[in-house]
Amino acid sequence: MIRRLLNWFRRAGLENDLERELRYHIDRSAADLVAAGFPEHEARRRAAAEIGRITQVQEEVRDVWLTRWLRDFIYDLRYSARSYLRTPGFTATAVLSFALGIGATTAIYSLVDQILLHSLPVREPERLVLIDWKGDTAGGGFGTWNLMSYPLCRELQTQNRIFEGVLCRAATTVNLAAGGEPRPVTAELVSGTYFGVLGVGPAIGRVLGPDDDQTPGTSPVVVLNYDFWQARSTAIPISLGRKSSLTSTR
Amino acid sequence: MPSPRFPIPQGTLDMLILQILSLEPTHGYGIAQRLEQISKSVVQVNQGSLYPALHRLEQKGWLQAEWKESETGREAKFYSLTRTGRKQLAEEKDSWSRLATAVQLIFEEGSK
Repeated sequence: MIRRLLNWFRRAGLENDLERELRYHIDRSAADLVAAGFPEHEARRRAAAEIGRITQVQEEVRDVWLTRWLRDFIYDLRYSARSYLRTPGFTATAVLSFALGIGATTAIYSLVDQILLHSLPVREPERLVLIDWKGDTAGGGFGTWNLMSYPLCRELQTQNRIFEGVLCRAATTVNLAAGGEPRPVTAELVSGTYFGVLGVGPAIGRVLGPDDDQTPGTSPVVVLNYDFWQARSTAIPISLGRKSSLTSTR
Repeated sequence: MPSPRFPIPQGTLDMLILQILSLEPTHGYGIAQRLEQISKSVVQVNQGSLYPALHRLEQKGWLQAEWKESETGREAKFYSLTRTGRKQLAEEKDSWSRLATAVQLIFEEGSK
């Protein structure tokens, strides 16, 4: 078994060996023919002709190696299948452990991939921090939900000692009616600093700025997600500066 | 012109290789030469088929190979018989002689 494994790794070595072996044969054969009185190039030609096409010989030898490996592989497979069938309990346990192991690893990897490896598509994702409450009495006593009161958020926005900029956001669902039936869509309520802090700009039109959230209740503005706009622009005729109706579902 | 040679019968090349190597370990070219000499150029061995056979026998564990300095001073791959190879040769010789005897008997029976 070990030798077979080594054979796999020594594949290049085997090829090399074979080439050396065949070269030795031709050289010796040619040398003997020269000694027998043939001119050099004629001797080489005859020596090569006697052994046939080198590539052909190499192919045949490779076939020998391969059949051997394949046969051994099939034997191993059969042997292991038989031993597994003989001990179904053990097999079930092993398969289950593998399944769980692979499942867990995949789950953890997808999580790490999302959180650590894929950074947010914003200007400097590594400088973003999330401010959160510790404790169990934030909001209505439901524990921590990344909830932060709006006054506190505004307060944080006025400082510039700790953070360069502060944004607040809250995920929600709204009904969007633009010249048709209202449809529920996922949305985010954000502060005017949102786009400035993230360093994200618009494809067309403008994004929200600090001026947009100065007075509560005035001129609500909407920025559409690019994909959303691409996907719905035919279904929902939304254009720049158009008035649309948004109602909160909560 | 040499007398017409007939190609080596299928399956006997392995036996001949084992026989030659039972005398002394040698390389592929050496085996080809011995085959020529011993068979007095009656049997034609395609030299190209020698190497696949050598590798097949090595895979079967009947031969072992080793790079050694040859008589010309250059390194060559020397083949030698393993213990199982020796056993195999004895078996092949035995079955060959039994087959040859049987064929002989049949021929004699027919000519009586």
